[in-house]
Amino acid sequence: MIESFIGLEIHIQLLTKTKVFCNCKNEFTHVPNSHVCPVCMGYPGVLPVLNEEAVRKAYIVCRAMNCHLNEKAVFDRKNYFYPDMPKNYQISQFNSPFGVKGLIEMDGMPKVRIHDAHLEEDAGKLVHEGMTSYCDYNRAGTPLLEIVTEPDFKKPEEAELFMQNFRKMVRYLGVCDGNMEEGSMRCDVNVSVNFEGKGLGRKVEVKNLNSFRHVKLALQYEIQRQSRMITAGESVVQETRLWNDEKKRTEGMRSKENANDYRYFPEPDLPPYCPTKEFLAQIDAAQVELPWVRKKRFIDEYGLNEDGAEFLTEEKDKADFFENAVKGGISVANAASWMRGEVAKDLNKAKKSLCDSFLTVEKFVTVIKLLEAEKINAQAAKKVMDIIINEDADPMQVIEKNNLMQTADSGEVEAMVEKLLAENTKVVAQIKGGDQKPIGFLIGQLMKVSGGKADPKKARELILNKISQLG
Amino acid sequence: MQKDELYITASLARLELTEKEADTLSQAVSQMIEYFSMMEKIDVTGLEPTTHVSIGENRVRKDEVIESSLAERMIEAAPERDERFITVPHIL
Ligand SMILES: [Zn+2]
Repeated sequence: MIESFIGLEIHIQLLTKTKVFCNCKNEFTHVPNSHVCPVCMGYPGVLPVLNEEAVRKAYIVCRAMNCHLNEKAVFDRKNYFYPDMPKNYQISQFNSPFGVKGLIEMDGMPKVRIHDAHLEEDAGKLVHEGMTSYCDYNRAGTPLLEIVTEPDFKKPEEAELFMQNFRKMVRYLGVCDGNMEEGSMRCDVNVSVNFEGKGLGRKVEVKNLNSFRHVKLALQYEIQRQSRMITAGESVVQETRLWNDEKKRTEGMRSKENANDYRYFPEPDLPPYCPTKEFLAQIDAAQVELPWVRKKRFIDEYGLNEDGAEFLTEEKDKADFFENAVKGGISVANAASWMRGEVAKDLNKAKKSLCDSFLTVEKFVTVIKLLEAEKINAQAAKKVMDIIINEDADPMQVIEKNNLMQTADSGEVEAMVEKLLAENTKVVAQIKGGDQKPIGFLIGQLMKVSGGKADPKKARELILNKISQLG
Repeated sequence: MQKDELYITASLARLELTEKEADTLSQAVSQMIEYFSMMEKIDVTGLEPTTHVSIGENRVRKDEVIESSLAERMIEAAPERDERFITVPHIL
């Protein structure tokens, strides 16, 4: 039997207004080299100064991962020569990063130990064309938090699931938008295999993974490749490989320089950072219930099924919305099914998320309460929901304007049924003759002429009654 | 310092050395390394290792944008460029 060991190195771009060591804008733009200054361009004689918001967000993540927080965090220079980093070194943290020895526990997953979380600066972007590389330093110096896990995953699916939950976590915490396609969240993996009981094998790193699917596919490929090698008695070369998504395989990189000798040394321009008690209290106050914890609670507390809880805890806004709606007095079943059904459908159609639509918890609760009290029917509720999602409208006014209140006394509806029956004598004859099928047609007609005010549940009974009264 | 060690260090620093330069440098570097070994002999028991002189307080700044007035001049100062891109030979 062969065992595999998988570790992740996750980079997240922190959501700050400015870069990590200078006041340049931290923002994507198509104008190359527009957010640059002597600090991020590595000019001599400049002084980097730490962005407090980047520090705050980095600690929020460290805390959420139960990291031990070093009393004194030290910045180091990681030296390397590549034109994406104009200083010829990257400021990072090596010996004493913000957080070490964390632990993440999720259901259905082995405990994942966090080796460390360190703050560093991102590199610039290079575009290669022929013999030339085009350098854009807008991204150079933007804050990046790197999270390194221990090799605690055994299966590619576990790593993939962890990444999905991790992405939700950083979005819940509001520290990163988690967009893998755009590179605001990036992931390298390391993987080794060995015969069972023999411990870790020789580690291979795989880079260039732009989606959760790539992470899984690359790991599956590597585990197969390495397993074949050790079974054949060959030894795996410790190296960095790249995922080639077109060919669905990992490929060795051209051999890099002698060794990965980054010659780390303490960054003389930046003093160590020592979190104060007051600061740590703020970090604690910024913690939120983590998505997988919340999902489990939704199942336990509200009796939701796995799918429902998964859907409702996808985003913090959605989970908050749901809980506030239930607190507002509507049933769990209605809150969940309307959010998953009609609301999700309308939002999808409008290409909006819950928080940037016009829908508020109050408006949602108003509509569902009217539905629960049978003041409006489901069809009317759907209509109102669609309008209050797309327009800044008051649900009561929408109902009045569109005359959607279910008529309390059925007199009006009865008159409509009578008229309908008189107009459709053939159909009536059919029903009288024992054919029940055309009732659906009559119900549909009634809903149409009543503008949705008739209650479809009661319509069937009413129509049958009227027909039998016709004698 | 052994010359082959010097060549490794030079290549990491992207320096090309002639045979003659290597001879002179390996002597000079050996001398520098000797200074370090002298320092290593100093008794530091009981002293906490430190990377910086203590300044007592954390030095941080507010997350506020200040656009640099030097961006355009830095692009112009680049040895080679293509419009707003700074260009370098494609390596690796
Ligand atoms: Zn800058």
